[in-house]
Amino acid sequence: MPGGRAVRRGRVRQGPEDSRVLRVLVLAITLLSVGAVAAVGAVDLPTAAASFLLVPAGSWLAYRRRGKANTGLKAVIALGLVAALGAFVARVQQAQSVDEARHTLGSLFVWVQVLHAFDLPRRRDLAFSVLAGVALVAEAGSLSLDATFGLFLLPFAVLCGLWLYLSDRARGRDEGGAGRLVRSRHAGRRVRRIAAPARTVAGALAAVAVAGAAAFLATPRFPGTLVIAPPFSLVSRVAVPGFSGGVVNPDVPSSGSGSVEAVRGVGYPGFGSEVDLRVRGVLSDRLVMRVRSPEAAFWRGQAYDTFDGTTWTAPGSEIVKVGKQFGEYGQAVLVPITDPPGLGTRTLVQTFYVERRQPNIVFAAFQPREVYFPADFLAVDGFGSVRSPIILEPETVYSVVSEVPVTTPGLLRSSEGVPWPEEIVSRYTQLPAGLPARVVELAHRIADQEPTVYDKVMAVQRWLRENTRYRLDIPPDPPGADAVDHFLFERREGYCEHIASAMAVLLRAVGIPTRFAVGFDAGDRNLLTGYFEVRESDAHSWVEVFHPGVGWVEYDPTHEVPIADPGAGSRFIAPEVFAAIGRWLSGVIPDPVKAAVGALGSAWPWAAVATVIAAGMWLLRRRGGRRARRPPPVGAEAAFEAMCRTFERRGSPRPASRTPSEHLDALLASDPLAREASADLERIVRTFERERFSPRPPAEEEVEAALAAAAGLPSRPSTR
Amino acid sequence: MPRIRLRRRAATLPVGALLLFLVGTNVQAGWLFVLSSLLLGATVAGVVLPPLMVRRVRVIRRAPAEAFVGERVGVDLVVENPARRPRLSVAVRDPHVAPAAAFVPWLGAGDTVTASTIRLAARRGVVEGGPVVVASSAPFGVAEARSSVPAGGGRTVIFPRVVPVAALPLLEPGVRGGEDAVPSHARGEGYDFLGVREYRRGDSLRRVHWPSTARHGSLVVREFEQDRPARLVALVDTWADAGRTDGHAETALDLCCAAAASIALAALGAGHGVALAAGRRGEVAPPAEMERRDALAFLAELEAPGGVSLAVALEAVGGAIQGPAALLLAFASWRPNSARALLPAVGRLTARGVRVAAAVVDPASLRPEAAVLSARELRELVSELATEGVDVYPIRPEEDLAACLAGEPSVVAG
Repeated sequence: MPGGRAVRRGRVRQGPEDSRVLRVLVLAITLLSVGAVAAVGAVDLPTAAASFLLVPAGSWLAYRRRGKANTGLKAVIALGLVAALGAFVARVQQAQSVDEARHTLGSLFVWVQVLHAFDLPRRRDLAFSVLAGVALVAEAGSLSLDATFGLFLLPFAVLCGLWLYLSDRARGRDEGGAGRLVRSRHAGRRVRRIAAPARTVAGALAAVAVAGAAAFLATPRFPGTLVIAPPFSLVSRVAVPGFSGGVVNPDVPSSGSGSVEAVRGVGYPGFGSEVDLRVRGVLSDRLVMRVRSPEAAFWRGQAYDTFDGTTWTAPGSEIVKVGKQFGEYGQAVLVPITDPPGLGTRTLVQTFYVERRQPNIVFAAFQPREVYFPADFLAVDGFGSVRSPIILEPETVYSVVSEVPVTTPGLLRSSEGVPWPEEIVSRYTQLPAGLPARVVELAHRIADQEPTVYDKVMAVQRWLRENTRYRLDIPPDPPGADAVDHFLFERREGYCEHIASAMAVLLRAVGIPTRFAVGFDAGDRNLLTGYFEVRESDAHSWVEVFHPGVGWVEYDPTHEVPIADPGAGSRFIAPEVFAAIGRWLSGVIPDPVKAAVGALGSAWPWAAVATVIAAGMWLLRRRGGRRARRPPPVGAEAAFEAMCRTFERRGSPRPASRTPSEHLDALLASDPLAREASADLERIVRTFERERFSPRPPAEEEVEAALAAAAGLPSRPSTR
Repeated sequence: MPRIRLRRRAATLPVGALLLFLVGTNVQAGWLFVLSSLLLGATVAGVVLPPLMVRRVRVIRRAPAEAFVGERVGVDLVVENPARRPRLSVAVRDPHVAPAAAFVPWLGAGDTVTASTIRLAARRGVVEGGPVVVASSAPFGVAEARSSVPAGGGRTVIFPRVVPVAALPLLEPGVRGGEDAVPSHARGEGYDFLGVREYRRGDSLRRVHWPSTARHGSLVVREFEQDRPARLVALVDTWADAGRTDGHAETALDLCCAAAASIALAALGAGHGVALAAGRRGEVAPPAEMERRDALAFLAELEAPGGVSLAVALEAVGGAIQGPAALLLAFASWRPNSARALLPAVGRLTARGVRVAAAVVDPASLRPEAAVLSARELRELVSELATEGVDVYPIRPEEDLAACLAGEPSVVAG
């Protein structure tokens, strides 16, 4: 059979794959995928190095022996696979978590690729290698924490696109075997033979990118609840000396009571035993941790219940140490629920990848239920905050399962009338002894008219939004001043700690139990990795308000974070993408342009629509113009037009009324070049006339000769 | 508008995307969503782009006007792309004469590519220059767009297979007809001198007339009075047909036509006049003398069912046979061709001195469209025809036609 193919049941049975291009492409895909898993640390260096040596060697051997049975080689490969599987099983049994097993799986995949590279006789074997490469890249993608993975994914996607194209083309060649291309005539330069298909394939890849982007935006995001494998790991263990459950913040120097310091270039000073509202400073944008979570939340670190006018403390918070038990997904610290469960919660699984040294606080969405942490025990205070006996060093990984209250305004309003627990009221409505009366009066003025606790909270939040401004570089408070009073009545500018403290004090002033919480804002979600990237500047404070029958509910007066269920809108990443694009545009668009857009006021949507319509009409007109233009001439017509162009440049244009023969006669009479090349011109014109007018068109060879003659005209000596 | 046919990749890519989406959701890995989206993007682009690859592609077919069954026919497909964008992986599928495909990896803007194909003319007939299918699954092989494009190129007449016929008694010299046969003064190799003519290739050197040759300066041969039947009438039965399962091999009617063509061309080569007749559209035209090409074209164009049984056609043709003639019946053993139906007309012809031969195709091993005679009935037919003086040549589809026509007449196997 031609090409060594045999037909069975109507399908083409493949013979050995002879295409070196396809084989080199698959080799590149394989090496790139191995490089990707090596880059994310899923395989150790010796394995990666061995792969980079063995895969090309195996591919070369597979090419050389593609037509042979290779029975012995297959047996050796099978033994190798068994050995790789055995090593995988052994390592899995030693793995501390499923996450570690994932790394082991990466090694197994790599060895499968390496061994398979030695036996690639047919195209479908090459396809398997590509498929295994996709699996490896997916493995690497699942382990990658940052955008550098894109450096692997982009070329990998391009190579896979080329594979799809070239393998399909090879299939087409197989099926079209009865046809033989004997002649090919190209109107343009030879370089187009490569450039034109390359441009078309590049255009197709661009189409993939556009369609892929649309799919990326339209793909819903769901919580990972099918199979949960909370990872945790520890790189180095730095124990907290004399750990008794307190917070140790190694980045913040201890300060004497009552002193006012400017904090610059160190960690957030609020993680510790107190939060002093007199401390000033600017936090850096350094990445402190990445959080894998299906949705944004406050990564809560601590809470405070006592305020003395300048400083929040938690003097009466009892601390208990909790050891590991068997949790829902394995050995975990089961955090005692300190607050009564609400009417409804949803489970939120978060994994924290520490990038910069942090205090011994186990940050988590409120309120944590199970902590998968690389320590034998943890300490939990009375506010549900968790501390570890070790400092959180970079590359520490831990996971937390939280029960996040699901609240709606209706639910919160309906809790009105439920009696408050006495101990909650007495503990969380404390006010500074010297609190000025005007603060209390302001609180009553804002909240007394509101019917429910929820409406009072909203009223205070609204008042803060309308009457205060967020600002980081504020001057120090006057000595002896109450920080909240000064913020509310004098400066009216401050940052999250002032705003949250003011809200807590105002609410407590009207008898609503409130506490002050610190931690990190959710951070910006990396649109590619899906991880929330938390920076030092995301350190934040907010308030927690107790609703009878519901529990503690977080309110953020600084950002006015909605408290209700995130709803279906958050299931899609498109809003975040558009917001990110908006932020980027806001950064790159010059201020005058932004001012002009601002001047349009409410009419800007209409202006945008008009711009889009105008652009569309311009594109349509351009496309119509292209269509109206004649397609490029081919064959003898191309030769004739080239001839006409040559003589037009020499001052002998062809009038529209002149026939080709008449034009030839006129050229012979007037132009010495025409006389010199009369035989060529005769050939061109006669071939063109036969192609255009004769029932028997010229042969391909004649057309080729005419094209060659036309191409040679400009290089004749008389032309110059 | 091109039709779209999804390939296997149209399923595997989305399934892969779904798997990555599920894993990505489970482990909350954003890169897996990117990878999943790229697979979906490739699927969408793979479905949207192929129709653009076949748009405005033109095909011109260059096929020979005539060919014989069994010949390898060269058909050129000139593929043009008058558009401003290149076309990738263009496949041209052409059923003309025999299904063939040509694959053009890329077709630049304004380019013309000529694909030369060789096809086996497996069956006789008239192949009109119909459309070709232009298809492309570029760039990713996810879906194939197919567009039917008129290719022109005129029609190709596939003549029946012609096998060498030697020593066929029907055409042998010296065989006279019945008692009322009247010799005609036709050219041949009889015994009475008729005249001289220029030498033709194949003439025996013994017939060179040397005096005339000397006078003319070129070879001149003697011509003698013809004493064989002056005219061969071939009647082909078009009652029904029977083909093979693959549809690409000769049918029973093809074999009848091949037998008739072989004998007719042998007769023409020997200088006999040849007239052909067959039932066509319910009628039988009187047999008309034809030259070689017309005879072949007549046989190439025959189709079943012709609407006339052989017995009826025989009555019509028999009445039109005048003077010394031989009659060739080429038919398959359909049930209407029983001995009882054919013998009366055959008997009348043999009684008039018409030499009759029959090429009988047994379609039992094929897929007959109509009822056929049983083996016993076929043997009975052959036997009775032989008894009537008819030379019978049984033709079995699985055997070589030349061998069948070269065998002893009136021999019926098993």
